[in-house]
Amino acid sequence: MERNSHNGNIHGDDETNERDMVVEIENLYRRFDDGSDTFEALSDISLTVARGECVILKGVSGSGKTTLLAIMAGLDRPSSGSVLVEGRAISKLPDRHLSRFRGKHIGMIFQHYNLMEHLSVRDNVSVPLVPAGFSADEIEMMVSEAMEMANISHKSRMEAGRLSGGEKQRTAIARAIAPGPEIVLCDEPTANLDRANAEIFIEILGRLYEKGKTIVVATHDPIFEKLPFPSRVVEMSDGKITE
Amino acid sequence: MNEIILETNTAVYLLSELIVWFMLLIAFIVDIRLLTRWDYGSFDPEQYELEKRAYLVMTVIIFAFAVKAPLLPYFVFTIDELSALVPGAMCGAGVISANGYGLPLLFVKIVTTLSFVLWLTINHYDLEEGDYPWFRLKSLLFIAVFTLVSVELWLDISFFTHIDTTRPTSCCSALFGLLEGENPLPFGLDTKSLLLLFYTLYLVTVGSIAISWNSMTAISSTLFLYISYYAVVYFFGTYIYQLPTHRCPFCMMQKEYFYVGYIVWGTLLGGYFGILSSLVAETLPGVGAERVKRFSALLLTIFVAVCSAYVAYYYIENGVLL
Repeated sequence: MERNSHNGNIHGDDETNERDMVVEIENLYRRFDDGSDTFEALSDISLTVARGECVILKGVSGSGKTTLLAIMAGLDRPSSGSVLVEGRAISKLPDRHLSRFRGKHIGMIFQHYNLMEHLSVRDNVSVPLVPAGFSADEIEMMVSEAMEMANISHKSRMEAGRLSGGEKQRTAIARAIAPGPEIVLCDEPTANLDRANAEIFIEILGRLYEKGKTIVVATHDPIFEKLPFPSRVVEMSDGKITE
Repeated sequence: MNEIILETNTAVYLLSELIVWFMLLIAFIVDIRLLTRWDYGSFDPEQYELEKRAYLVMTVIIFAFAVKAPLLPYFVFTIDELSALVPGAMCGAGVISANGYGLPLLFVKIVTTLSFVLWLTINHYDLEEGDYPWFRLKSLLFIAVFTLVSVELWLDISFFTHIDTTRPTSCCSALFGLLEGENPLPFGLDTKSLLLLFYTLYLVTVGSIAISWNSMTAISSTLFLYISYYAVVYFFGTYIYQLPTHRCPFCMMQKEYFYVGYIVWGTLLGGYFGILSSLVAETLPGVGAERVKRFSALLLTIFVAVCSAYVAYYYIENGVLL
């Protein structure tokens, strides 16, 4: 893949080429048609993310960060261009394969958590594990580990609707990491958190980084500019990578 | 003609067939474009658009089949109901023979159903792979399916619009009855040989499925289908009707016989279609269709069991055979 100044890679060509690429995006476009107009949400995006790397997609609202993240997660499909995750062209997979792939390889943390308010924390974390074919004992073990990592075990039986914002976010983290995905994608994870909870989130993110997870965060929160672990910032504006 | 077309079942049936054909026409038009432009390895906007449309086409075809599948027994039910309007007809057999379109129509319906089953089978395994390795094959097959559906619709309309309610047709006793000295059975078989062949072919079919001997399964199941037609009409049917002179493939689908004909013919055709589609699927690299074959064997077993049960029941009740 040809390297250029807009590919979001600041490590240098040789170093990047030696590393195992988990995400490889090339010449990506995402256009939305509303009948009379075509809006280009993403324009000629090329980006690679190495295994175990933490990438911060930084940009204001409307810069295309969330759209790019959704395409990486397989929740949206590009208009053109290739998206390889763990070597699979996920933009081309049929829906049933995409769901299976996403369940196995990708954990997603949403801005508004997307929890099932009437279920307990434990049940929310269990949800992605049930269709994956794990036994009850395996689910129990994986759920406990994930809640422990996300520091939410003490609220396991509480209904998600009764949690605070920070607790909901930690439940969302536990749910995302419970299946043991290699990749964790976070969409504006601190947008609805106060400073204290945002710092707790960063701390958990650090633990995931130490465990070797590949992390991509879409955010405009300046707290991500000074992470306590190595990360790479990719600036986006008007659907393009600018730095 | 009017009373035939305006009969409720006929009107519902023809309207349903027309709607299904129209849905498939749309799928056909899109399918042609897919076939000519498809390039799965491409990441161009056009290919992404084609993949979305491919999913739409598959959904339409599957839905069309879901509607069409019950239309085959409904067709049989409809022509059976029409026997009250067609002079001389006592069941669907007489109505089918009312003009020259009937038997070809029945044959095309069975072939169309089989082609749909084949398409569904290939589509299933194509989607399982994730990169559509058999996309072109199933697109070409769909062209054949649509052609058959179009021919079927034309035959449907021709058949129902050419039933003359003023001209008597033959009833099943005339169609399937025996003149003295005549042997309707194939290969000059008598009844005992027919039954021996019937049960032998059944056992060979099921046995060859158990040991995955595909070529034998293909041969024995096809022969079994052929022999079963004669066995049901000229032997087992007489025990269903409990009358040695009543030979008819249609009457057993009437209420008086508890609609058992639908089970008899449904399990026979369903079992054969399942075997055929699984054998075709296993010609695709890396595909194993053991579950489909086993299910088909189960259907054929039910078929044999139901047929045999009528003979056993008659013997138990009367102490003699017909």
